[in-house]
Amino acid sequence: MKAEQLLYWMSNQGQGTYASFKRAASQVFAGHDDVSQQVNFLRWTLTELSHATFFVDEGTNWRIRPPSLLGLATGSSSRTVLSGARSPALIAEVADNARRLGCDVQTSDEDFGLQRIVLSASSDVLAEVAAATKSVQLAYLPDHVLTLCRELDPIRNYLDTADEGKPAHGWDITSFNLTKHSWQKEIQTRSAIECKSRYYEVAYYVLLDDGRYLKMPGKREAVYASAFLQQKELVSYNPETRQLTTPSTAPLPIPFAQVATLCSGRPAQLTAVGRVYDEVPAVIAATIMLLTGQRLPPSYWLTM
Amino acid sequence: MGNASLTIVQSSLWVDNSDSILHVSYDEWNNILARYILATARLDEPVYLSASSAMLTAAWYQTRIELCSPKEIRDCFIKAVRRPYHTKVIEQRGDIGFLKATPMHDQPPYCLSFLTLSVLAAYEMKHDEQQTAAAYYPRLAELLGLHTQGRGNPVNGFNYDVCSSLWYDRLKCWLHKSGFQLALPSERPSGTHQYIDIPIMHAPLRRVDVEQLPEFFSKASYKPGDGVSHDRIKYDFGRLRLGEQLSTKGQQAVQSQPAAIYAQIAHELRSWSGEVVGVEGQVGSRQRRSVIHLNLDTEPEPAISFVASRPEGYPELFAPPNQSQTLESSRDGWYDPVPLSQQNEASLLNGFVWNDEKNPKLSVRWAGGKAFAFGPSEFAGYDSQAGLPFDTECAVLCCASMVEAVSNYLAKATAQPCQPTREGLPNGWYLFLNLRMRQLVEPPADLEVLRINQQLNIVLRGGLRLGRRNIWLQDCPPEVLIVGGSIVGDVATVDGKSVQVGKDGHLLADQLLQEPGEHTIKFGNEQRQVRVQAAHLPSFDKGLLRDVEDRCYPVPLPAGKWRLLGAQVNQVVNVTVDRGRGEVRYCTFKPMWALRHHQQGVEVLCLQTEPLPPADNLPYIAILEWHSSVCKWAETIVDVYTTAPSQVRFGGFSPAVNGWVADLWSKYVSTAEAIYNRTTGS
Repeated sequence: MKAEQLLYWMSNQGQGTYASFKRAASQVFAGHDDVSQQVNFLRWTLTELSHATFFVDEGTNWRIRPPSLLGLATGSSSRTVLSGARSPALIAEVADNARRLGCDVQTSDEDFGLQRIVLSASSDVLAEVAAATKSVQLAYLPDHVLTLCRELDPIRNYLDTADEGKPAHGWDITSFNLTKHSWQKEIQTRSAIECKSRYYEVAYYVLLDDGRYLKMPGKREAVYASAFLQQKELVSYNPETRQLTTPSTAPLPIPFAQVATLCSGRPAQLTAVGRVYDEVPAVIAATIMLLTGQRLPPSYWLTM
Repeated sequence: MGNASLTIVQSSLWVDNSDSILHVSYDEWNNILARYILATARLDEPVYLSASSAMLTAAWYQTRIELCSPKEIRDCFIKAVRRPYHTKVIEQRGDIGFLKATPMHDQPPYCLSFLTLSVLAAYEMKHDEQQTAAAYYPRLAELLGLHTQGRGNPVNGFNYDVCSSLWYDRLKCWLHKSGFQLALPSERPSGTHQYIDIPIMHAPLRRVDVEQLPEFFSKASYKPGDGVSHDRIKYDFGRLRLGEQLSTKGQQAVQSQPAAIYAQIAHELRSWSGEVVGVEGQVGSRQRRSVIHLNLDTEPEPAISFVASRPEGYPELFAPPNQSQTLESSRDGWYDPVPLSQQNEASLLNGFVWNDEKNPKLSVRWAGGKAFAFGPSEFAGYDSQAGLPFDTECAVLCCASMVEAVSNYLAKATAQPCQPTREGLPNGWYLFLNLRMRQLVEPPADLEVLRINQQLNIVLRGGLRLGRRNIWLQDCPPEVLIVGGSIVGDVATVDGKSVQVGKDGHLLADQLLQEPGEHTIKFGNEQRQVRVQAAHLPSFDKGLLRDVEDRCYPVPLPAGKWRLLGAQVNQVVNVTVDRGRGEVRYCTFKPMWALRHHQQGVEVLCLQTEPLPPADNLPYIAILEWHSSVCKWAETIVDVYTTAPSQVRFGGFSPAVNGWVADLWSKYVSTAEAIYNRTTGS
């Protein structure tokens, strides 16, 4: 079974609890040594590609997103990726309409066997393709990445508005070492702190110099908040290759990862240097870097 | 039989209830019932229709994925049968002869739904009613929405010869073609009063007795939806003395037609939601209780969870007071598993009842126990169940006080020493894994729950289910396991094609189950139906689709006082960035350039990877309307143009600007100069 089939199943169900997703997704990785970890990776991928939303309203439910043609951040709105709920019938219908209306359709197999379906044409034609889809209401959102960018909450805000808390007694505590990019037993100030109970409950904090713990909504946010406090760089951008890179152990917080992913419609590739997002325009990379508390990428000054 | 004119009890009964979402035709109900009957029938036992609300619900979920209450399904069924009866018998003044219609090839007999309704009428007779025509026909009339024709007389349009023929010539022959035998009186009834023996025979337990069954299922450790052999039911029936709890009529039926009783109990078990109603309750305050079973997952290491059934009306989120755990539902009919920790040893042993905080009349109950048998689960790993399946991989969990007795028993049954593990289990509990019962050994008296079960069963495991029962997503069919004693090389059939049973009872049928449609798997006297269908997309809330109505472009900028310019000549705005590292500002137009003055001169940043040229075709009048911003736009560019070149720095976030930025900027300068000249008159 491939993740593409899992996506069809999620589309059919509409929503469910995380346990139901985990049970179904585990079958994609039957025989793997680290099924739980793979299921997590898949969950992130589905989220970053805007196929589904997990932990809706801070609960344990997932919900499939409506079928949509999402504009990729390629400088113009002429490329879109098919995202959200889908079925083989919907894919065939969209592809037929697209070809009939003179729209280029590229399909490729990506990680976990998910299909990346990219439609390229003028905005008017893409809107026509969406309107011609009769089996479901297919949305055409050419500026989806802009919408996501507008909703990005700067990491600095997490620190400014965080509640104070304290790890519960008896929980295992580790902190994230921003030099080694790994979790360690030794606790450092200005670090992301992960607390785990024996019942698998987890909580994340940032430990300040004065000993106060600030609650963070998740692991990724805690790591980037601590990087901001320590002024450590986690994200890099290569304007020539247009690749945005983060350490593999310090992925971008989900909303930022969604923006980076929807530049190309392809999830980050895990490489020796970390997680690499392709086709990221410089202005989007700079936006992500600034809002995650990182430095701006260097400007290129020309001699006229 | 006369066909006197009929009176409709309530004409409104014939009108579709607009509140109901269910509109299923008579023919569709025929197919729903046929699939269920064929899926649950056994070759070695007579077939009983055993119509009840529960049976209709089970049949519904065999085929359909729409979630409906048992009442809705029953009402839908009755409405579907009334419709043709009304048309043919009342409007056209005919009789039930229309039900003899010959079906198309492979279709069930047209009379199937009507005969099922006639059994439902028998099932719904009151327990104190005699099994007489006077008691039966009013029930049938009520279901058909008709007045009775006087005590003991059948409903209008009824013809017992035709009805008898429907049973003997239609239904019996149809089942016979599939190798099944319909339960019928040995002598064909020859009169109105004798005719009622048939529907009564097919529903020997009436509602009052059927309501006792959930408690029996719970005590016998059956799981909701279990397919348990009639032999096993007979054994537990006697062991748990169910007969003593039945009504007089029920007890008489046990004596006269035990096979029908066990068949009906098996039907009810298949549709049981895991709920026990009316326990520990007082009159007027019916308590509802659902049962919990255990799930054992062995990968990556043994982990045991409580799994509670979620009957109709139970909330998605079941929150017991004073418990850290809540139950959440994602599978239809079940709550998600709740993992057991090392501290759960007492609750596992002694059992518990949790009431819902919001509705205390709803509860879930774990009965507790000292030892539990596990067999293959339909989802993942193993489920606790009644007995250990013969020659099938299974497991046993027991408490410390039982470990020696269990170990000895399992050693005899498996014909090899059995060592338990304790890792990851509640304190004081032991788990025996990778067991295979090879010897039929009687369990010790206090380990009855570990009795070896030789019933062959087809377990449909995993895959991606779309509904509550036997519907799977196309290309994601279930794995098929034969449990209870198959051997490698045994042959099963899938849609009539022979398929060999492989290692551990796996049926190598994946390819045959890929295609959409109905598939029938047969092994021995067992059969299961699998329906495979493509994904169907639900409708979506439009609120989930959001796009920018007023576009808002992010502009990451270093600290300083910046002026942003767009490609339109009125697009200009000032922004100030205080923070040293820079900030992201949002602009309602797509900014092409960001400019700032500093002591050394002017910095001009090209913000876009693919910047647009200036829109220079604006009519003069429009320029006047935008006078202020247009002037500002043009002045900004002209100002830079008139600055000494040595004091102007151009750049961007990408080195790619190098090739074309000078050309592009010169176009902006040309446009700005033209506007400047027009607006200043120079």
